[in-house]
Amino acid sequence: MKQLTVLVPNELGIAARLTACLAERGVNIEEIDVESVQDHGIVVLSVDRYDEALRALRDHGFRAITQDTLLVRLEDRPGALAAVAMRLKDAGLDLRSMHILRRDATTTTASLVCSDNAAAAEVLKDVLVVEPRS
Amino acid sequence: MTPSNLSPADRQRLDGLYERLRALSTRNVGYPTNQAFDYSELFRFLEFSINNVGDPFHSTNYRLNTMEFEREVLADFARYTRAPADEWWGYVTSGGTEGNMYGLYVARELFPDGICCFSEDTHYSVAKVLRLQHTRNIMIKSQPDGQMDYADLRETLRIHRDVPPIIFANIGTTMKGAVDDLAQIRAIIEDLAIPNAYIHADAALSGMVLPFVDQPQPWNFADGADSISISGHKMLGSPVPCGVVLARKAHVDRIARSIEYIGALDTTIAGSRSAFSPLLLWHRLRTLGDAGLRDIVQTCLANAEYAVEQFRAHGIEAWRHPNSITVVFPKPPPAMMEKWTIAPRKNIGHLIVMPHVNRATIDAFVSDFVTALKPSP
Repeated sequence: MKQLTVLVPNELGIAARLTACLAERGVNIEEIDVESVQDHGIVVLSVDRYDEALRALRDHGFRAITQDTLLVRLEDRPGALAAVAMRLKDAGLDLRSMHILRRDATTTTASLVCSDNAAAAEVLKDVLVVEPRS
Repeated sequence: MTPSNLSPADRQRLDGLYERLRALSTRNVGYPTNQAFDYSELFRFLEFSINNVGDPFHSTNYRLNTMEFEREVLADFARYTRAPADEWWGYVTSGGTEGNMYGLYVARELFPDGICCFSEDTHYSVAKVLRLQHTRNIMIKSQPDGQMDYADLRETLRIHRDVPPIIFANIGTTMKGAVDDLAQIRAIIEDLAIPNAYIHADAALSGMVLPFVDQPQPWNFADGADSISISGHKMLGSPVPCGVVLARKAHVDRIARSIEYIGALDTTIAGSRSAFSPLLLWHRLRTLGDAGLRDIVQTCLANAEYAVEQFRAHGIEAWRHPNSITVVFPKPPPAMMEKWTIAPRKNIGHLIVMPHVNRATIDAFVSDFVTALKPSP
């Protein structure tokens, strides 16, 4: 079972649209968590057919984040992402990439890939949006 | 023309394709590809298998090439980008992405520990290139108008002072036409006393606009760029994607030395390279000349301003950056997508006023937009 995270706009019926697009491709959702953050929602899914789920979400215009990527939520201020990179560096971890996914009035949601994501998740516990499942 | 063995059905398919492309080309207003050109003088060169394999400034055993013409094209682009005399190098690429890949490759070779900083408004292909090249990277916030957020850049560079920054600057962002100010970026680097830094300028579209305006934003080699990528099929117009990349020669020489062990001083990304696209660019530059290019650019800018006025006259909040032919407006209604080739993203859309987008096309587009906004009876 693998985990997917999808950032969605806070629109009426969006969760139904998302689950329907997976159902029509025969993807079973084992677990689903939905969190609302200001103008958007974060949907965390565990699915049985991972690659098919990714394709279905992409085809329906959803942006899915795979479990190879960590998702962090930070205060929206200059250098916020760089400060996270520095924390990883201080812990002896090598940041490969860090991209902004969404910004609203006060927060930035970003994805990051590190040399050791499990260790990075431990270092960044306080800003992690989704705890990686083992 | 020698008759081919193509079946009537296949010939019909080609005829259908031709008609479809002909109809679409005039309504392509959302992508920066100039559809107005005539290269019929060059069609005869399609009789040959020509190839510009390798470095255009080195000799090659494959003599069916157009490297002499390629060098002349590069010399013109070096002049437009204010490259230091005799201190530049470059080649004709397969398009803007290869040019960006080359610039980032040079940067990564010079600074293997560097971190690439690029803004939120950067084209998605850059993230692909960075992943391909295993270059560490961090995204910088954008301002609402699409320019890089210089405060975020400064803070990022300050925190990572010990790491050489590789700045990927947009000289005309894809959606909003924003130009990242190279003078400001250089000033930040100097202010933080960062000894090693590299700036690559992605000037895909605006690289052939800014040389022909009176007050360009700081964007070229004279303003601190280390390499610049410009598309050939965008402002100049070409039937095949192509572009030009230029870099400071000292950088290229350094990486050429470092890869000498593979037995080739050639640092170009591709092996075989098109010999036809340099001819297209050469033909375009020679037939238009600097004065012709300036005329085209000034007409496009005037038409872009006309488009902003027409939108606003109908209560649609449109805007554009100085020296930009990209007119930004709220996301168009879905009905617009059926007739027009446009590229909306998030809550905005844009009209890119290329040479084939004349005032009649703008009027028709705005009229359709206004109609589509009206509630259906």
